Amino acid sequence: MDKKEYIKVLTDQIRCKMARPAVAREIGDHIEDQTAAFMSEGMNRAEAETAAVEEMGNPVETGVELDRIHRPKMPWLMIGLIVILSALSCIFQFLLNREAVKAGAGVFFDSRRQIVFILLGILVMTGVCFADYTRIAARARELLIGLVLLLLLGRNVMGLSVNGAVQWIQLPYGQAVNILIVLMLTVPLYAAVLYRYRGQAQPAVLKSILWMIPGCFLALLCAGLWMVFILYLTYLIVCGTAVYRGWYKVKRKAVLIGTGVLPFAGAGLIWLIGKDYQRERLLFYLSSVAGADERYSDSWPYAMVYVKELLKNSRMFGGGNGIPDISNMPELSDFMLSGVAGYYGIFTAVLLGGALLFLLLRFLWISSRQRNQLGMLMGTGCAVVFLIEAGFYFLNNLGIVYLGNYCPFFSYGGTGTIVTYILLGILLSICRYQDTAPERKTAGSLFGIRRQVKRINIKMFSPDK
Amino acid sequence: MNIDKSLISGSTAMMVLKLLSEKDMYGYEMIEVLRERSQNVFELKAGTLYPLLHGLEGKGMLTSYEKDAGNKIRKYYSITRQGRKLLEEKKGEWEIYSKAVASVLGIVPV
Repeated sequence: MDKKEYIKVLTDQIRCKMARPAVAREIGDHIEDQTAAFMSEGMNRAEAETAAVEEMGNPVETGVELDRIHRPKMPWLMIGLIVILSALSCIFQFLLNREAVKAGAGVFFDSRRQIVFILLGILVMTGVCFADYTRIAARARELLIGLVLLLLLGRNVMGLSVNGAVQWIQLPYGQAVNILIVLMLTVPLYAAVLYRYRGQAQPAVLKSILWMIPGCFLALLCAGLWMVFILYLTYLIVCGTAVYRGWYKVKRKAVLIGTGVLPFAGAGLIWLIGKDYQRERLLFYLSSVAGADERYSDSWPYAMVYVKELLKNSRMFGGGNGIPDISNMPELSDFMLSGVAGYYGIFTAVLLGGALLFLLLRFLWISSRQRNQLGMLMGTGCAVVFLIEAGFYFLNNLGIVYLGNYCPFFSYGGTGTIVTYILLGILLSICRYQDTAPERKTAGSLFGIRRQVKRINIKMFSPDK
Repeated sequence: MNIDKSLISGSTAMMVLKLLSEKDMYGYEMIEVLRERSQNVFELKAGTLYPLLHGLEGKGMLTSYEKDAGNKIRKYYSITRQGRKLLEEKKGEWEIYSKAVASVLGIVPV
């Protein structure tokens, strides 16, 4: 048996094809080392290689052992949690919608439509979960730019203007896509772009900052300041994580401090170059945090008054005393948790919020411990964008800040549901392939094109170092 | 020297962890060092070593990275904090076990 045959027999035992190349390379290198050692003892190349292969042991036994280790593992606990949260969110939105209708408000929740989107979303999530996420890195820049350009084109050609802002793309059969929500997909792509700059020096940090522009720019163009905040914060955390993990040859402390200052620089930029209403909105977002409620008391959204009223009268268990008239409460799905607290008790609301937080924090924890660096950063990005959204959603529901942002699971809507499940699919794929995903050195076979990427000699992160 | 395999198998992980606690190494290097240190008693097969290394990496005991060594890119393994903890545990177990065997056989420790 020669070296090639030995490696083939061994790797054929490993069912997960994505794990094979790395194993083949390592075993091949070992045989080469052993061959060189035998040659230095006086054997010719052919004899030395045959002897080296014999030294390796049984290829089938080794392959079977490696197959046992490098097997994709389905994260059933996380899938179970996702299904439970989806069902609970649907049930409570249905119940709250019924209460709102009883109080004389319009219907905000179409249960049949939402169930269809959830089922479709779960189907998409399963498909993404089985896909090899590491292939995304191959064309991350093209995919990110392509996505933003596609949305921009859709906005300009089929844009739907609502209250003066074009945030939707009109599709046939009365469907529409929310551009701001789709921009959440730029987060894993942004992480994959940064992965390509590993091992580079200062210019890589500058490029990383420049790559924040396409997503934020389109969100700003769509007058979605809340999404600009969320994307910008997420990009910064993703970039900061890459710097912290030593991806770039830079002075980490200085760059991290700089990254911490960037949010203020971003707010300052909006203040300086933004329009009057954007400055006003910035002040408004900061008003409650800065304790300037009085100044904005006239414009304080009446929805928040309802939220505070709902919470004030709620009890630990069961319906609250004196539930306010919610017939005029807009976008009730933006306030699902306060609604649940008011109608079904604080305990139920805390359980719901806690379940979401647990799911997202667990995804963040799993992602941060990934050996595959692309998986680590993509997973961190997906979990962080969800966590920031959930955090603001909780603040909205506590009547502290009014950002009116999207929240995974709890917000109603087709685009949000599908985008959420795509990101969840990526997170599940990262969990599934944690023992098999290779660090790609070639551009992969996305669209059937192969491209050589510079070999990077960088030490992978070790928690001890 | 031929040694009963069962005596070796249980302690291989411990020896690999011990080697890596001293410095980062690649697979072939580990086999060589082990052979030298044990005066050719432990002739570990690559077919045993790599599943062990990959398994320990999967459990978070080791991490790996690629490094340019001369003209060749090699995959180096590095022990983690968790791996060091496991090594200490295994050393403790081994000490108890070897003392017990020595005591039963009436071998006086040197």
